[in-house]
Amino acid sequence: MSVLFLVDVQHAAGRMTLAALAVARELAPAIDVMVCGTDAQDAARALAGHTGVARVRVLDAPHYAHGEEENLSMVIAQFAGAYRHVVFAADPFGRSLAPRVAAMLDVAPVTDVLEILDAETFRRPLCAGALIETVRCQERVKVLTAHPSSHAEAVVRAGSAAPVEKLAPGPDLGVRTLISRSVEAPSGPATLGAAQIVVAGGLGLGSAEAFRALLAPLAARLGAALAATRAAVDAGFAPGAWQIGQSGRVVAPRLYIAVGLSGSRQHLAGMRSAGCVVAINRDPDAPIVKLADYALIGDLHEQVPLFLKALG
Amino acid sequence: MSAVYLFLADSGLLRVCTDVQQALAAWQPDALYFDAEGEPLRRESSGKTFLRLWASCSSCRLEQVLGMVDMIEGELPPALMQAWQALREGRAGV
Repeated sequence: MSVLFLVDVQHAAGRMTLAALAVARELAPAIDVMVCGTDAQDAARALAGHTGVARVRVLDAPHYAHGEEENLSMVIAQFAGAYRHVVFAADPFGRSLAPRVAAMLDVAPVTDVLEILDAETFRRPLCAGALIETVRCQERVKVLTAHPSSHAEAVVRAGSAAPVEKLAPGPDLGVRTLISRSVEAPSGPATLGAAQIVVAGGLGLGSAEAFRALLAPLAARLGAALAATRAAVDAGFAPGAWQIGQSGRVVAPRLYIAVGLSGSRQHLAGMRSAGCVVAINRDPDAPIVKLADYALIGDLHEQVPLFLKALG
Repeated sequence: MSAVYLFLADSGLLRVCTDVQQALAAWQPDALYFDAEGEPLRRESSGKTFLRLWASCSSCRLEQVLGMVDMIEGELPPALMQAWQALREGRAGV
């Protein structure tokens, strides 16, 4: 088998993971998937049902419960050396593990792959997506983190599932101890990572009250997740967990509704892969308006209620 | 004052600015800034406009965009000029 796709069990069913799996499948018609975490059997069985998955390998141990990279990287590297491509989703799990695994294999990773041109040629962003470079990687093992495209979806196949193989876990190195963990409530009817629709607000909303009053009903009507720019988060309009962009989360929903945000390069880096972008903004020259498929130009305090009303 | 490099992606122009003010005055929407060491700079506006080190993009250095440079305005340090010329010759040879 030539391609190994790595999955964190906590996000195994997430849209981002499944979309990245579809990207990995562009490298080979059938790939191995390795699921890492604790209590990973259910996730492994679910992944075994996806088209193009030849085998699911499971690294399941209590000391992988919180994606401990120190414990996982060595054992992943031991298996990864047998593959031509090792692919992670470009999420926190992948961004943390890919360079460690690459270092252990003594190869240079290729990060944030946007497009696979052939087995060794990839397109990736520079400077928060302001530039796109094409790189050729001639390492014996190509370690990649892949941005999921909003158009790429893993598909559950009918009929028999791929075999699931339990691997011997590595030791607990005891490097890190989890003291506490808190998980913020979803930012709307859907969680950001899984949302097909995202409603994002910027500083143009003017206040935290306006942010909630205007965007929450829209998100509720569309079954969308709420998100924000860094400027809106810094201004206290929204919590940090909602931040989209270079220093926040990367999302690839089918529909991205951008309200009162200009579309700084740093923000665009987090939502560039959205399928359809709708901008509601008073500035027709704002970068987000230029990027958008559809734009409503006007005062957002008038446009958002009108938009909501039009949805019925 | 240290030089600031301004790269305009659409035109492929790399401009060597003598200082930050000159670089800011030449801003365009597709502009990317790098300091004299080649580190990326981020344009910020909060009351006044300024440039600061772009820490979260620190792996994107001037040397990485040299291959996309078609024209240079100003004087590059000899090492950078040699690197640019070598890249151009490489491109021409493809």
